Amino acid sequence: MMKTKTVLLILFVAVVIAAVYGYCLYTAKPPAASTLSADLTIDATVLYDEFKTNEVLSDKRYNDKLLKVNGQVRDVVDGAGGTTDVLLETGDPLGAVVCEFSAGQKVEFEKNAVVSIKGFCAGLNLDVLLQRCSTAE
Amino acid sequence: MKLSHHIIFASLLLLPACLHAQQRLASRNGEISLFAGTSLEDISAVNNKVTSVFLPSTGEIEFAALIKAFEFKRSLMQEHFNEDYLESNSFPKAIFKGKLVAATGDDLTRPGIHQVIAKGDLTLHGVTRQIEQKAQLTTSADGTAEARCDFEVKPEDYGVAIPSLVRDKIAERVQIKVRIHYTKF
Repeated sequence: MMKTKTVLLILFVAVVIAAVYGYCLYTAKPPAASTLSADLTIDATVLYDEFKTNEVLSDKRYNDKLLKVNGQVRDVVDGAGGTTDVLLETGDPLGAVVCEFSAGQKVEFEKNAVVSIKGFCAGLNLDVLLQRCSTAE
Repeated sequence: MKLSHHIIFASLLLLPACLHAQQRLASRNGEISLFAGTSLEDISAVNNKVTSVFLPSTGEIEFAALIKAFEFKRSLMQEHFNEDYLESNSFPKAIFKGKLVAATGDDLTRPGIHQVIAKGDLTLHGVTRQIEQKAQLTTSADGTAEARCDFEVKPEDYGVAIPSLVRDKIAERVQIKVRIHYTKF
């Protein structure tokens, strides 16, 4: 009898743990760059040039990766919904590496400053887009 | 296909000055939001990095949206959207190429609120289909404009298969809202 109770208790605890884990997984927000280490480090000009030269290959190489991008700030602009976009210089006036910082993040970059930013690469759409960015060390 | 898309897009952006009086309007921060939820699940996402070019004199319009740039509140939804449904590694962009045609014969270069029909080809998940939707174009005296269009898309029309296990959690028709603010380019 005691043994049955122990087994039932273990089963109950296991089910509760699985339910809590499942709930946490289900409700988790997309990860922010600030909490993770970069997969790759690259200069903004090189990243942009690679995408412009071979978008298909660059999609495979960089999309979904957490990139640490080094570059010079072309501009800092307000994005939609309280986000801030930091545009990094690429040498092409028609395109930039756009680093999107989430709403509520403090972004204090001066134009022309040389900076390092981490963000998740989403691909090229005139600009190369990095999302959920943070300042890198 | 990707190369041709960029060539067309660059051509629209860099259309030479010989096309006099053809003011070009462009946006890099257009917004497309989608709602695919049901009473069982709130499934919504927004992409506010949509690029678009519009020529008011001819009505030609094109926009492109990175599928990976749609942001969901939940990581798992974003993952399923990209990996299982839209397969964004294989089909990274949604593209619309077409025209805005004034519903009542308005001159779209004149400031005002114009009811228009957006006609053209929407490419999604590697499938291109002709669409024709009501839209609204607001043009201002300062040369800026705003396009708004609400429409619905049936995932199956674009080859997006929804497993029967989750069919009742995902709307049969996904509601799409497009809001693009154009400035002179």
